[in-house]
This record gives sequence, structure tokens and C-alpha cells, in this order.
Amino acid sequence: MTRDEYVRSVGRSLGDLPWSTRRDLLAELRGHLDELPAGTDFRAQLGPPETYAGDLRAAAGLERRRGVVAFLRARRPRNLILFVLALTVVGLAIGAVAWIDSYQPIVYGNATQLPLDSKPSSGRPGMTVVFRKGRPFLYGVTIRNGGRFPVRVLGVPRDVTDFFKARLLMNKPNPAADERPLEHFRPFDLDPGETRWLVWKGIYACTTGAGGGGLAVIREDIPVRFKFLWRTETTFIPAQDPLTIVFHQRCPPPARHR
Amino acid sequence: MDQTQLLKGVLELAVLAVIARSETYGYEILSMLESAGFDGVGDASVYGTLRRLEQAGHLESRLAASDSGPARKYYSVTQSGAEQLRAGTETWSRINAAFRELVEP
Repeated sequence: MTRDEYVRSVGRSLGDLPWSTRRDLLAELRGHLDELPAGTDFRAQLGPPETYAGDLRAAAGLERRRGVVAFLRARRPRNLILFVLALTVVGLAIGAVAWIDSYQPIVYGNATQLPLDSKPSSGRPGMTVVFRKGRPFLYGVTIRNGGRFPVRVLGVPRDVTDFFKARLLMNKPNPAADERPLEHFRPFDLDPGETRWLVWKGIYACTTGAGGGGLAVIREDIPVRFKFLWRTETTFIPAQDPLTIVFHQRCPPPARHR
Repeated sequence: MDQTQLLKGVLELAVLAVIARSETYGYEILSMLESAGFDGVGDASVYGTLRRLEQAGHLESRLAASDSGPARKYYSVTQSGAEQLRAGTETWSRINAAFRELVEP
């Protein structure tokens, strides 16, 4: 058994002692072993490491320690600090990932462009418009970044209530949140506090869903696809005025949707 | 009769007595104790006693470079240690005398 092996074995038997105490005892043991003549059989000279540790403990009046505090004090302070730091970093990383995964700053921007001829709905909140196939359709809302970090707006996914064929338009950012001039939508960064218009301009059309005589569909929110750091998600912005589209005639979807 | 337990009883005084002669280090203390007849006391007991005495303030230590290896820890007796040695010696002498009275009537 080499000097270091003997010292390590004694150290293991004293593993419950505070690290600084153990360090001093083992340093002294190391010094003592260095004083012994070369070739000394440490085990034969000093006895088994466990016995040596027991005698040392008894003579020094060091009782065996148990419990969480003793466990922590037995750790090397540097290792304990590194462990706590690592734990903190991991905790912060988990918290950051959780926060990023839940971050959704896009809110309704307090302005809506309603279709022509829309009227207040009777008996429920919002506006109502009558579906007229092939007639001009214009509908839009403003979205605002109510958070503290910019997000990238990627688009507006199709919705089952999209009974129109239209281009999605957007405006350039301006302090007055003025709707015009509109241009074709392309992904853009929505900075904190910034408001943008998203407007569909086209015609009423039978598209994805099944409409019918006397039926109606209600559009209560606007899906907005956005990206924040690595995360891409679709959020649904509640419309201030839910839009009800009433069908007086059947509106079968195109053959590919049947 | 196993003398180890008897020796352990006076080990603290013996260690103080050795160090009181002059500042010295662990291995030398062990050697002097062995020469004096304390050969039944394990090395660990001596080092443990040194630590306990130092913690109690009866000894103080300093590290000094050694020609033959790593730095050595040299011990010297403090005022408190000297008083402990004096009081302990008196107690031991009384016990020794009392014991002699018993076995040598």
C-alpha cells in the first residue's frame, strides 16, 4: 500500500469530519509517512487505515458526525461552491427555457378593419356580415408587441372560418399606427410597443369549410404565427369584435376539400 | 496486563512534557515517547492528542521547511499548556503516591 493509498483510505474513514479538519489531519499524516524510512510497510507499521483513523479520531476527540450539515461541511468548500454554482446555472437555464417557451407578447392592437356592410350583431357582441360570394372582402386587425423583447411575425395561418380568398397585407411601422400604405405581407420583427396592421384584401369565397343556408360562422380570434429565439408558435389574438359571417345560400367547399 | 490503556491515560501529559523540553515535530515526539517507554501507544493516538491539545490552546504550531522532505509542523507549549502540564504532573504524582501506598504497605 503506497503512501497516497494509505492516506486516501484514512481519509475515507474520516469522511464525516469537516473538510478543513480532515485536510489538516491528512496533511499531518502525509508528513508523518514521509518521515518513515523508505520501504516501510505502512499497514504493518501503523495498522489498518481504518484502525488508524479510529485511533486518531478517538485521541483527537472527534466524534462521528451525521446529518445534512455534517455532510455539507465534509465537502470541500470549492467543490460545494462549484456544485451550487452548477445547480444555479442549471436552474437558471431551466427557468430561462421555461420562460422562453411561455413568452407570448403579441396582443390585440385596439383597432379593427371590418368588412364593408358589416353591422352590429343582434343578441351577441361583435359584428355580422353577410357572405356574398365573389364580392370584395376586407378585414384586418392590429397587433401590438406588449412585451419587452422583439418577436418575428411569420404569418397568419389559414383558419376554418376563412370564407374568403385574399392576400394578407401589412403596413410599415409608424408612430400613428396608420393603416396605410399597405404592402404584401412578409415576415417582420415586431419590436416592443410596436403596432402593425394585418389586413386581408380579396373576395368572399367558399374555401375550407362547409357553409349553408342560414348558417353562420364566427371568427373570434386571429391566429398569428411568430418566432422568439428558437421557438416558433401560433398564438390566437382575441378579436375585440368577433366577426360573424352569415350564409344565406349554400357555400360548398371546392372539390379538393370535400 | 495490556499497558496501552494505562499509557493512553498519561499520553497527554507525556506529549506536553516532551514538547515542553523544546519545540519539536510529530515524528520526533513519537521517537522520544518510544524511547521513554511509550512504545505501546499508536502513532494515530499521538497525532490525535497533538491535535486535541492544539485545539484546546495548550500547544501552538508553525510550519518550517525540512531538509529531508516536506515542511514539518513544529509544536511548542503555550502558557496554558505549561499550566496544564504542571497541574497534570501534580495529579499524576498524587495518584502514583496513592497507588504505591496501596501496593507497598
